[in-house]
This record gives sequence, C-alpha cells and structure tokens, in this order.
Amino acid sequence: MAGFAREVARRIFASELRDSDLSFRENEEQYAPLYLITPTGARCNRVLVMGTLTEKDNLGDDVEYWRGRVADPTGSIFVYAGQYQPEAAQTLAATEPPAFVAVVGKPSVYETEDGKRLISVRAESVRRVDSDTRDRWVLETAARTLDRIEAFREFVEAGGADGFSSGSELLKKPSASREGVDIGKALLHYSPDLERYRVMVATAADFLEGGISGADAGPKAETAERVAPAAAADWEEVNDGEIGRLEDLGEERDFYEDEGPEGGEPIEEEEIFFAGREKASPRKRR
Amino acid sequence: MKEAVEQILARLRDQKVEVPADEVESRLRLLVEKFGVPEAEASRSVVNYFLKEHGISPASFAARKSERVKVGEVNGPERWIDLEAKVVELWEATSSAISQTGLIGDETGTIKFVKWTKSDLPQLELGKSYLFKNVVTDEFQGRWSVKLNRTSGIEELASEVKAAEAPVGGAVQEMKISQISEPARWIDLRAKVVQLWEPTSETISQTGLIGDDSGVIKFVKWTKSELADLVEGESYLFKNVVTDEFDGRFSVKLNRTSKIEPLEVEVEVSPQEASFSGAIVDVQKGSGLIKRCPICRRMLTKGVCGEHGKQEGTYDLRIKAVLDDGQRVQEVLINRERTEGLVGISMEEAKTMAMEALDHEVVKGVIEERLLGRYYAVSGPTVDRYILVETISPVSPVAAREVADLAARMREVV
Repeated sequence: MAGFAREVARRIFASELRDSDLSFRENEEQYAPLYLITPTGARCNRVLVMGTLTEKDNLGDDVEYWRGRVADPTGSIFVYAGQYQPEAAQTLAATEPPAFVAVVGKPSVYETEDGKRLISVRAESVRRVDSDTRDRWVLETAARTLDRIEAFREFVEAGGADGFSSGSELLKKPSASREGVDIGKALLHYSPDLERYRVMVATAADFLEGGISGADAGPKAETAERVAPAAAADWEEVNDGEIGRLEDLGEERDFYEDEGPEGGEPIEEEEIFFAGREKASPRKRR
Repeated sequence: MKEAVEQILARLRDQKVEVPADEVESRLRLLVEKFGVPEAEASRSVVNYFLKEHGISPASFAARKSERVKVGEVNGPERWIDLEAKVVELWEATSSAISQTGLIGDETGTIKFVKWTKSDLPQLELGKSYLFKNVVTDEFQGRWSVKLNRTSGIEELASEVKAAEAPVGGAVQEMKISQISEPARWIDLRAKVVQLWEPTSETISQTGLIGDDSGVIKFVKWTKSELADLVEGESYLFKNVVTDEFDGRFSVKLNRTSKIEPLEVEVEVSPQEASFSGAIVDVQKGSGLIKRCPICRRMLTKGVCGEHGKQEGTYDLRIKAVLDDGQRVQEVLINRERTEGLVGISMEEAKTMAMEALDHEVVKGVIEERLLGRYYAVSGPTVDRYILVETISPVSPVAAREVADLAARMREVV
C-alpha cells in the first residue's frame, strides 16, 4: 500500500491522557485518521500504555465487551476491547488483576451529556509483560514527556520574543512546523500548566528510583503492588458505568458504535491527582 | 472504471452516438470482471460494440479520428494517431499473432511498436522511415507503445526521419537506488552486483541484489532478456530497467529492452546497516508458519501464489513485526533461524502445533504472546522499509544510571 504510513504509538502517561480532550481530523475524508492532542502537544492516533491491570469487567451482555483499568505511576486509564478486538478482549478476559500489561490502542474521546469529555483507549492488543518491561516504558514515557515539555517551552519562548502573545498568533507563524502547530493547538485549548506535567514526570522518576534501587531486594511479584499511591487512593471513588457512544480515534469508528451496550450510563471518572491533591491545579478552560 | 466509462462515452459522443452510462458500464464490467479482459481492450470492445449497434463501422470511425503527432507527444493509451518515424530496432516476435515488433522513432523519442499478423500490412525494414497511418497507442507498465492493425496503413517515406535515442513513456532517468519509490518506472542504475541468488524459475536467468551508495535492491533478469550474465562483485550501468513492487518492497526487472554495460570504475556500495530499539507493537499478517511458492518464494495465500497459481508450497517460519520507540516505527523481518531462537520453537514444533490446532495461526499467536509489548534492539541490513534482522536481543532492564540521567534531566527542565 503506497503512501500508507503506520501511526507511531505515542508514549503518554495515564495522567496526561486523562487530561486530554482535544481531538480532530486532518481532513473531511471518511477514513481520515482522528488525532488526539494532549496538553503537552503530543499528537496521537495510537498510544502504547503500560502499567498494572487493576480491575477488569465484562460490560457486554450477549457479546463480551471488556473494560480494564491500567494504572501507571501517575494515574490510571480505562482500556476497552470488544468483539472487533478479539485477541485483546481475550487477554483481558484471561488476565487476573493485578498484572502488568502492555496495551497498544487508539485513544477514544467520549462526551457525556453534560459535555464532559472522557478519554479511554480502544485496545488493538493487550499483552502481559514483566516489571522490567513496564519500568522501561515508564523511563521512556518520562523522557518523551520531557521532550515535549522542552519543545513546548521553546515554542512559547520563541513566540514571546517575537512579540506573539497568544496561541492563535503563534499558529499564524509561517514557519510553524507540524510540531509547532500541535503545540499551538494544545496551548490554545488547554493553556497547560507545564509545571504540573514536569511534576508528573518527577513522580515517575521517583517511582523508578525507588523501584530500581530496591529491585534486587525482593522477588518480581512484589513489584505488582508498586502502583502510585496517589492514584490508588482515588480508585475507591470510581463509579462503574457503562459506556455509550464513543468518538473513536480509529479508522473503524463505525464498528465501534455497535459495541456500546444500549442505554448505557455515562462513566463517572474521578478527578485525577498524581502528585498529591494540593499540587493538582485545575485545568484552564477557554 | 468510471474514467474508462467517461472516455467511452466521450468517444461515442464524437460519433454522435448517445448511450446510457450504465449500459456502457455494465458491458465494460462484464468484460473486465467476469471475463478478465484488460481494461483498455475491454474499452475498445465496448466502443466498437455500441458503434456497431448504431451502424458505424469501427474502422471508419478510427480512420477519422487519427491525428498526426510526434513520438514524444504520445501521452495516453487508446489514441489513434499518425506517425512519421524510422524503424530503429526489430525484435523477434514472441507470438504468431505478431508479425513484427521493435522500436520506431523520430527526433522526439522512440516507441515500441507491434504489428499484428492479422493487419496484413507489408513488412517493415530496419533503418527505413515510414508514415504510420492510423495506429493506436497502448500502455504497458507505464510505457507507451503503438499497435498496427487492420485499419492502419504504412507508406514508406522518401526522406529519412532522424530518430532520437531516448524511449518515450516517462523519460528514462538515471537514479540512485534509494530514490526508487514507485513501480513501473523505467530507469537507469549504476550499481554493483552484491549477491547472486539461485534462480527459482526457468524464466529467471539471474536474480540477487545490486547496490549503490544509497542502498541495495533486488533484481530479476529474465531469461527472455537474453542479456549477458552478471558477475558478482562487478559494477554495471543498468540501462532501461523497470521498477516493480511487491509487498512494499521494490525490485528492478531486466528485460529485452534493457541493456547492461560493464563499468570500469567500481560502484561503492554502502553497507545499509541499521539498528533500532523499541517496543514491538504489532506482529503482522504473514508472521508465523507460512507456506511459500516453490518457484518464487512468495508467501502463498490459501495455497495460491500471486504469480504461479495453486502450489503445494514449502513451509517457512518468519516474523514480520513493527518496532516503535514512541517517535518512529520500524518494520522488521525475522527469518526462520532467528525466529526459532527468539521464540524458542523450531519449525518442526511449529508444524506440530499447527497440525494439532488445525490452524497455522496458532503459531502467530504464540509469537504475539512472547513478543508483543516487549522491548527489543535489532540490527541488520535494510531493504526498503524493513530491517532484515541479523541480531535481536531484549533491551536490558532499566539501569540505575538511566534513572539518574532522567533525574538530572528533570532538574534542567525547570
């Protein structure tokens, strides 16, 4: 297939993914890929998420429709797999939490009736991995997130020096690269507090430091419990719900609409705190 | 299909024949889809069919349509044209349906011609110039040709037409191997024969890899090309070879119109080694236990080779996977030997597994189980968008030093 380029699986921490609700298509064509822009300006059509599968439920009636919650050091995110992702669904069904999993999938944005946009991942594949692999992912995701924070800072500073004051003006800069455009979009939509994401990365780094220095101390199985305390504390507040229609980031979005059980209640997501409640600043909205 | 229907309708309209588009389309579809007639041929047939229905003889229709053009102006199939050109080359006809074939040319270029036996036209002589009346253009693999049929005419010219060197139909251009990005392009390459492989079919005289400083590419020299044998390690100018694509990989084919000139100066082949480290995010279709065509080694799909039809096939074990480091994706091909080592199952075991499960896919399942989501470092030569994996090893666990580096970087990003 000429001209077809596989989308990179972006590395985004659960906490940042959960802050994301800006999605767009590049053009009007039916199969144009849908992208999610995260607060630090990552443009993703596909993500690789790793962490601990902490819970799983079959939400379907006749047809199995699995939802799992995957927690990384910064927070947690729901992943879904139904009949159109049979292998992923099968793995979710067969895996007893807690267990380390790697999930490749497409971010989906779901809008509740009151206009709240919630994010989840439609799994293309779910596989059990070991703690070493998960640690590798945390390190890599931390590095990629720092890359984005740096690029964001540079972009804003460059704009500032030229007398640009707002994202919309930055977008008009003729020299804006695709990355620049993505950052501009993120800036306009989220006005992100970059410090919040730097702290998020610091949380991940602390987690690795604790884990690596003590890695030889205990058997591998113990590391499954090493989930972020802040994220863990909030799990209790979650009300399970069924999903309705999801705006899917995949090409087969029409299939997806068939998967949600009829008349589902919206998901009530907990607020996200990854570094203690006092540090979590409310997201700015325009 | 739509385009062809439009063209047919336009041609019919030229003859004041109005036919509903759906009638044209259904007739065209019938020929192309049910009977496998090539589209150009089917279009011609459809035009003729409707012309006949309206009492117009296709021959007279064609005769009125022809226009005088230069060889270099030929830019589409199915055009009826007149050409003044010189016979530059005569080739041996490959079929009794063809009375003569070869190259004709004028000052703007050369073009292949085919004179059908049925045309009953006089014999052309090499080096003589003619007015070719009412010949029809055709296209094959991105190249133009002209066909001389019963409605065509040939008149010898008193004055000689000067013929240019360059063939027509997308100018032949000298390229670097890495610039090859589409099939059916006629190109020249300066390259060194890197490897010769055992030809898998009698229709292939030689095959292997040729390379220049930009990359390496597979080549196939057809037996029918009657070209001299290439020697491994020697450099050549490959003239007028045609690019091809299979499974996302490019190759070049050497056929009868190609030429090979040995080069005095050796072409440098850079070893296109690449390495990549990332998580395996996909194990692609065609991974696991597969069957290959015994003639061309392509993978069989449901026991059928795209080129050679139904085949018994020989087993092979391989992995086509996608590595992803969060910034780039890299496709890799892992051969049987390395797949066996990596996954820990031999091909015999894989066969047994497939037999017991009555499903070849079970092997792919095991591969996914072992590899998906895990980090590997690979290296090996690149061919097109793949790394042909020579070494593959799991990325080692995160070291304390790496975490310290991250922490240090954290402090810089304030």
